[in-house]
Amino acid sequence: MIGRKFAWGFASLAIPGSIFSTALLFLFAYWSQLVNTIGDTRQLGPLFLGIVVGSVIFSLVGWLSRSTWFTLSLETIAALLLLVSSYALIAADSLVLNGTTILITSFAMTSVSAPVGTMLRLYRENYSVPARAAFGALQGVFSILFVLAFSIYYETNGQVIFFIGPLVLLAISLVSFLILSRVK
Amino acid sequence: MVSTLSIVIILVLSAGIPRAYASSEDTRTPIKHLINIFLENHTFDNYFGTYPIDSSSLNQGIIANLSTPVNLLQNSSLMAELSPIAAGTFSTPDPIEGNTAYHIEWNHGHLNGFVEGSGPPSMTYYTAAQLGPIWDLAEEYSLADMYFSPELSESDPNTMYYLAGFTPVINDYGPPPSIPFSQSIFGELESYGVSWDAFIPYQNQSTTYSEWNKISGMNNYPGNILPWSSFVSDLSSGKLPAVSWLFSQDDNGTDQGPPSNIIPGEMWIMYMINEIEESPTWNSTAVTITWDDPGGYFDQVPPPVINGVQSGFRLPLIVVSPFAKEDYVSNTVLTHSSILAFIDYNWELPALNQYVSRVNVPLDIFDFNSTPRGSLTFNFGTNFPLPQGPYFNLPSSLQQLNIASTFPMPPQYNLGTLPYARHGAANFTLSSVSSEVFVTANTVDVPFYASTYFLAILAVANIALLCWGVLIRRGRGGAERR
Repeated sequence: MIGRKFAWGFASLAIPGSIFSTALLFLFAYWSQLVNTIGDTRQLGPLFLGIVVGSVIFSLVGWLSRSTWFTLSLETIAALLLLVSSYALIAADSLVLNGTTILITSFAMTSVSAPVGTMLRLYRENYSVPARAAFGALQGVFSILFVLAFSIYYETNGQVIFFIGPLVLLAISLVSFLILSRVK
Repeated sequence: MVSTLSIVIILVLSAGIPRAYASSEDTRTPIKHLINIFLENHTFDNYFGTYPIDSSSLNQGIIANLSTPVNLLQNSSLMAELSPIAAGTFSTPDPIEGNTAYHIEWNHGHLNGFVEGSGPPSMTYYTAAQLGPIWDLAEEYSLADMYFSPELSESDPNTMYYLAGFTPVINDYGPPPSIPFSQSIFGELESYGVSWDAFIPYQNQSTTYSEWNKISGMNNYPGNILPWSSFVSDLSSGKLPAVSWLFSQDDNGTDQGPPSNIIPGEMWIMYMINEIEESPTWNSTAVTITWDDPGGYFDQVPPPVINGVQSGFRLPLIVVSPFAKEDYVSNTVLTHSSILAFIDYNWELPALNQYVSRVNVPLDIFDFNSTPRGSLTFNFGTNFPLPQGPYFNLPSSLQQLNIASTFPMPPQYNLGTLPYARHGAANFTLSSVSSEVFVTANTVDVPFYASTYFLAILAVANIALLCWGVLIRRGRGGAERR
């Protein structure tokens, strides 16, 4: 019984959460032109380190924090501030980013995972702390996997049509949230 | 019914009529045909770093009299930091490319970050052992040694300046964004009825060729996108349009971009030059040969800011023409868009845009006062066998070639009796004679579904749906509790 409840939470909350978090991350990379600075294999280390660490940490923060609108507002404001700071950092460096800047920027970009996690937790509040921790971790891990999968697709297709990443993921998450809203 | 039938008959008949190039004759100079050859990824010092010195040559008398551009020969300590590519080797590992790598190399004009930016392969240079035939072109005709890539970055932004005098991107990218066809040089030529064609490696790529990603609407002109073989047949039949582009990109190494072997590209260039020289249009033709971006290789000249844009490192520009000065080195500050400026100048068109209006036009390279020079035939025998067509196989053993022996060639005219100096510069821009421009404000094409606006709307819709779902669920929960 617990297994089914957990599986349902994983499929209906953690996976859509990872899809939407990844979509927002890609949207920021596209809008800020960060994606245009990538192309040097030496940048991949700090880029993915920031994404890996940030996705897991911020997803856990979202799923383990208090499920209130106030917490959600705080996390949203914090994420927006981090994104604005990242953009300022990118712009200040004229899109010439050293490893540390890329690490900071990619870490900050994943901060959107926190309000997404909290929002999904507001959907269903009757999960235990270990279950929520697991959802947070899984949301983070799947975000990383989605980033990796699309990065490979993007690279092997000549670094073109990046917009497909956020477009497809936003469309999928929209459908999944629509289904979620209809489920009693 | 009758009128429909007559339209059909006219269309059928006109399909068989050769295209007329009426505007090709209306030019400011005797040049009626401009052919632009575009290759990939080498700096000036990488290709001409030690030009014209070739210590193995038996013609030191000729070499001693040749013009020397700004290159490594004037800086022995700098040359000691670089390595010549050994004879018998025709490629290097691919230096790291991109906006970031090139900015590290540049280091605000200090030019001390090449190893950090692009790695050890950046610190190499080719010699006559690989480039003898191309050096011959520079010797017989003109070489620009202050020709800079327009953007301190890699292929895409620089190619956009080559085709449109503008870039909306800083690195290799999408699309989107693309530059509208109407804002490219193709669009301007089309608008003014000046004939043009772009020649690409293969027929079946006319609408899918990778370079067209940069120009939206290019696919609407398949009749102007032709294979190399059509270029050769148009040349021999005298049907060449006013302006042609010969793109080498996407042909498995003809473009010379590292880590490719540079010999296929060199053989292809020399084959094309021979075809052009032997064609009936030679007396009214000019050829520009350049490379799209520095490729990560070293160059010693700090790139200037051109029209408010930080330019990138020097690229070679060779101009082959019966009007090109012999053994001439142009010190004029030029860039890719200078070729566009020359097109606009020659065919009496407005400058394509503000950027093009303010770059120097490469006019000092030409001597329009003398009679056109006769054609040359480049034939190096077995030392560097030239292909019989634009598509060819390499000789089985490149190590057996004696490429260094191909340079120098005897000058066509006695260098001591030429009626012009063999170095020079001339600052002339289209804006100095007219303020008219064809594109007053550049824009970009981004499909709505790919725009950040649409994606942001989708993201907001996701958030709204989530909030709505939570509120519904909470309302339902409250009702159930009641």
